[in-house]
Amino acid sequence: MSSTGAVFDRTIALMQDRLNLNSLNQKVIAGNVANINTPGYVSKDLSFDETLREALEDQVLTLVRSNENHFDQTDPVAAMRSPEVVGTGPVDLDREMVKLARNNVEYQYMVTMLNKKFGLLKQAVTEGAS
Amino acid sequence: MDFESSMKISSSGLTANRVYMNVLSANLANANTTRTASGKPYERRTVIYQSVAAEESFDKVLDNSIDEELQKVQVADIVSDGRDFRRIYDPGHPDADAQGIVLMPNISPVEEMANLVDATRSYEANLAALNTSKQLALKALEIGR
Repeated sequence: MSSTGAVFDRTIALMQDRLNLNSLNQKVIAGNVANINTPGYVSKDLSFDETLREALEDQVLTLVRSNENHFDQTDPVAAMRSPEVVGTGPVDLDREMVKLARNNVEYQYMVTMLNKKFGLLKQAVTEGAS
Repeated sequence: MDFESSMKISSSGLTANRVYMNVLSANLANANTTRTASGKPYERRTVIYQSVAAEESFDKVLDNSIDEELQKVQVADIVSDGRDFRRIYDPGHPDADAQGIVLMPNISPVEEMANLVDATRSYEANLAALNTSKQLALKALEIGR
């Protein structure tokens, strides 16, 4: 759902994607914690964070795009929409708990930001009355 | 994208650890039991955990493919761990053999208590994950408020 109209801009769509990602991440973490004593279980992680970090650091080799339709190798937004579940070895409870706390804060942060965004729109349509 | 399945995964962890705690309690309670239905002393039991797909097949069709990778936990089986019985010399015991030897379950209370602490901590970790899912679900209701 990409609403890029005059009222609902790209930010809202991005925040929605991020909320979806955090909700998926919550499932991945819950699965890891539940299987902490399962023999042979491989801890799972979402590949998105790594992709984002690489994109931010901008130290990866990028493909040259001479046309808008060319495949964009390191588009963090595209990575956010189709994250991959990757295995990372045995479950580490401390690591999972930190991820859990981080995911929680990120989600609350996103919802708060989304509400601020809607609040601004509301202020605009009511001409600052409320 | 719902929090129902993450809660389902966490609750599977809670259930599995509760089963483990029950088994450990039974071991502790029967540390000196010499008579069972099978005629032998009580054998120490333990659980086998197994990870299974988080969603049932029908849900899987509806949801996206990434959910296939998510796995909850279940207790596959409760098994006797097969270690030898302790041989105690106690000629006065009704279950003693001709040499005065009584076979006792090979259960160490210290080992069971350590396992119990482990199970408790795992239970708490699952509970923390469950509570976070609940918080996120409630926070989602505040969108647009």
